[in-house]
Amino acid sequence: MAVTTGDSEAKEMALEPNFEVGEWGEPGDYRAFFIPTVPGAYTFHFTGTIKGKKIDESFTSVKDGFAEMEDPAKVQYPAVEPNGLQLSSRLDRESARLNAALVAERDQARDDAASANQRATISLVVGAIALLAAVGVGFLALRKRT
Amino acid sequence: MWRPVQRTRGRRLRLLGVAAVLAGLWLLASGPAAGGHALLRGSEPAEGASLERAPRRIVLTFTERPEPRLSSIQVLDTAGRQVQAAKAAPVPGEPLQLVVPLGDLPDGTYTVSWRVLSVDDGHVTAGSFAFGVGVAAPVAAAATQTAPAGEGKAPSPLAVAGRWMIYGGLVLLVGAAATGLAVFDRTLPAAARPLLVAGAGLALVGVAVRLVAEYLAVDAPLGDLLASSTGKALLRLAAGIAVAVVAALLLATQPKLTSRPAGTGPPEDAAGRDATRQADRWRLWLVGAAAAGALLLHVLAGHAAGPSSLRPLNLLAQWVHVLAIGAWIGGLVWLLADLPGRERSNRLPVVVRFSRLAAPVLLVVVLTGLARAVDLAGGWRGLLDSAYGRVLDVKVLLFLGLVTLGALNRYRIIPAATRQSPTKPHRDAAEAEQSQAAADHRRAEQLGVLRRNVRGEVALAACVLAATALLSQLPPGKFVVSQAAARPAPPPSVQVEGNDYATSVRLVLTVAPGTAGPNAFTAKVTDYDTGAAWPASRVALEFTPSGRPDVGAATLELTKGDGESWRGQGSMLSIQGRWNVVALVQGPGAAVTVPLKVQTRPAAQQVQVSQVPGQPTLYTITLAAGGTLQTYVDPGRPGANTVHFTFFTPAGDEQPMREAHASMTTPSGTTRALALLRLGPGHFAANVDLGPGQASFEIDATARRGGAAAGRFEQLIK
Repeated sequence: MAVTTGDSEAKEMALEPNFEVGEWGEPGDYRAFFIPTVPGAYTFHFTGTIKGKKIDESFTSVKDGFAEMEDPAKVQYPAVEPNGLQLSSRLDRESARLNAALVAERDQARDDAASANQRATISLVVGAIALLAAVGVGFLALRKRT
Repeated sequence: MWRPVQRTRGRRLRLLGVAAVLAGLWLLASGPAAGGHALLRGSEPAEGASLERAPRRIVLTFTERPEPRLSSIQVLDTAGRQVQAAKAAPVPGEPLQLVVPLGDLPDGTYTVSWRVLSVDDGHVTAGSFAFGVGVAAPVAAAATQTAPAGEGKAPSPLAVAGRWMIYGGLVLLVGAAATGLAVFDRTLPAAARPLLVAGAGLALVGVAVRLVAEYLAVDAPLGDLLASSTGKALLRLAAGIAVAVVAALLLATQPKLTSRPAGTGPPEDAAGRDATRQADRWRLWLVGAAAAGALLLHVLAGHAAGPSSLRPLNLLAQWVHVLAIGAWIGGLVWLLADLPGRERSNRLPVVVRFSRLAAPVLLVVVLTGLARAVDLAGGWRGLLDSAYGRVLDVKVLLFLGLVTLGALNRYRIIPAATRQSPTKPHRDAAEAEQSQAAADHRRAEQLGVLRRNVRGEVALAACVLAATALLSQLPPGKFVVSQAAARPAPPPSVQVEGNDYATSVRLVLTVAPGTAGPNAFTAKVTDYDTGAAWPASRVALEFTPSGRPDVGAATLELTKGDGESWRGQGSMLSIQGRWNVVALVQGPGAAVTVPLKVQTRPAAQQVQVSQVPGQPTLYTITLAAGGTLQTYVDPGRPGANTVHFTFFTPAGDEQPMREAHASMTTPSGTTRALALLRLGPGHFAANVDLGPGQASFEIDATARRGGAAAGRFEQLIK
């Protein structure tokens, strides 16, 4: 049997008889176990042979059909506990946001540094020109006086 | 010596010209937001209304008087069939309203489509809105209001051009009379005849263009247009302009009308007057009176004539405003015509007289213009938000440019031209003659500068008139502001937003109308961070009433709509109150759930309020399911109170109720459940402590024989 939900990869499981002919259980009762971790519609695909007859049937939970998986949060009380998948998804999201914020912060800092560098360079150039001009004017004034 | 000054003046003129062109471009680029004057102010039934019974008639109220002959209202059912019983007609005593009678309408959704010609300015507007009978009003059918298809949203260029020509022509004629009598002492400039003919021709062509523009706009036979009040007003204006044209031609055909070319004929006096070449006083007065009369007829067909308690004052202010503009702007053109060629120095007295006339006229223009702007602009909001306000802003800027140039002439150029040279004894006659020649030359140069400035003023004045013509084609700001304020609220709905635990999906759920019963559900599913559409393959909603574990959950599968929208309809919110809604979003990978809480809106209810001195205020609420709910707050003052709820059957007997839940919302917005005491089969009460302010109370109950009843009322505690 294979079970799938959404775009997730199908999980294959072997159906085990849940009976012992003449001993216990009902003949024909085969079972496989899995723990659904996300709500929504699930599709069960049965393949194999029973007494030489090939079986290939799929069943999907639908409205007014057999019920689909519900979010356990509905029955959790008093606090709603996220499952592992939700937690990991949340962590992935928060990590991405944190990284984006760090990158933005780093870019901003880099821009600020570049801008400050540029301003300092311009200031130095202007200062140098002013100094040269002052020296030149002073030199001319001295020449004129002499 | 004066060349640098001349260059500066020239640069200023060029700058002003550029500013005028830019302002004109801004006008064209900004474009009007609304396209008409008779905007829909309100309606009965209102846009988006959901009525229990079909209305017998529909009444539309506009911001300006609609022309019944050239206006139409259609009421269409969902198949597009017209269901109105007769044509739209005016409401006696209500000039702003039109009414259309209806027959027996079955339950359904109806669209009201209207197309109206304004009596006040002849502009056509159109729009539509929807309402429901026995069904929820359509959510998506938001009201529209535009200029009719094919006409575009902008004012008709033909109509604007027509008005500009009328203004230009009549202003020229008013200016002829004003300057002829008060400035030129009846000795008109040499170009008087062409100017008079141009003024008369402009006005005549302008009214013809207006008539054509109106005919194209109303899309009705010419006979219907001429028989309407709008057409009659246009015909009256045409007759007035025809009289002004005859008067102008009478003046233009007067023999020896204009001043002679310089250096010919008998000598003139110091002011350049030649008694043998003065225009007849009566002819000048006739031109002025006829042009003023035509302007009055134009004013009577404009915004100033709209319904108002100050209508006579509005008309007077508008008329005086345009007359003053005529004397000033028209006078400028005549002054320019009187400053030709090189022989200008002897025109100085004329310039001084015009300058003296312009100052008080300008004051009148400003005062009356302010009065009209205060009436029409609609305050700061109207000045900033409406197309009318933006055009008015540009007009004021152009006007300020005019005033600046005028002030430059008045306080710089003219004093410089009239200034006497310092008197000092001349050694001989040759030196005296040389000195006099130099003074004449200086005056001539200053008058040359003045002529250039006046030319700039005339160009700016033409732009001002264009702005005025455009203004007359736009809905006044006060109408736009009041119409926006009075615009019916969008169809009611409840909107909630939520996200999954992993913060990967953001879901906005809109429930319309949001009351208990049938609703339309729209879910917008987007990425939590980017807001981009989430690639969901399935969205389902599960509804559970809060605090009602006895009611099972209901589900609704939504279908994919446009973009990120998912839609569905159903009566899942079957009980008034708070609901837990879980949205299941199946996307790439695993499905996620988004928990939401939806509080239904109380349905529209009919409440009768009874106030008897000394008694609590009694509210009688008509219930949707039949019967009534009587409520009151005792004593209804701050402090300890008891709120009572009693249900009655349609026959007036007390309605036994199985259970009831009530809540109270305090003035601070806090909602809390009330502990109800049963005082009778259908009578409940709760003790509450109330502070001053508006408190609201809600109750929903279930009858013993089934059936729900809910009511809500508000009371001001003071």
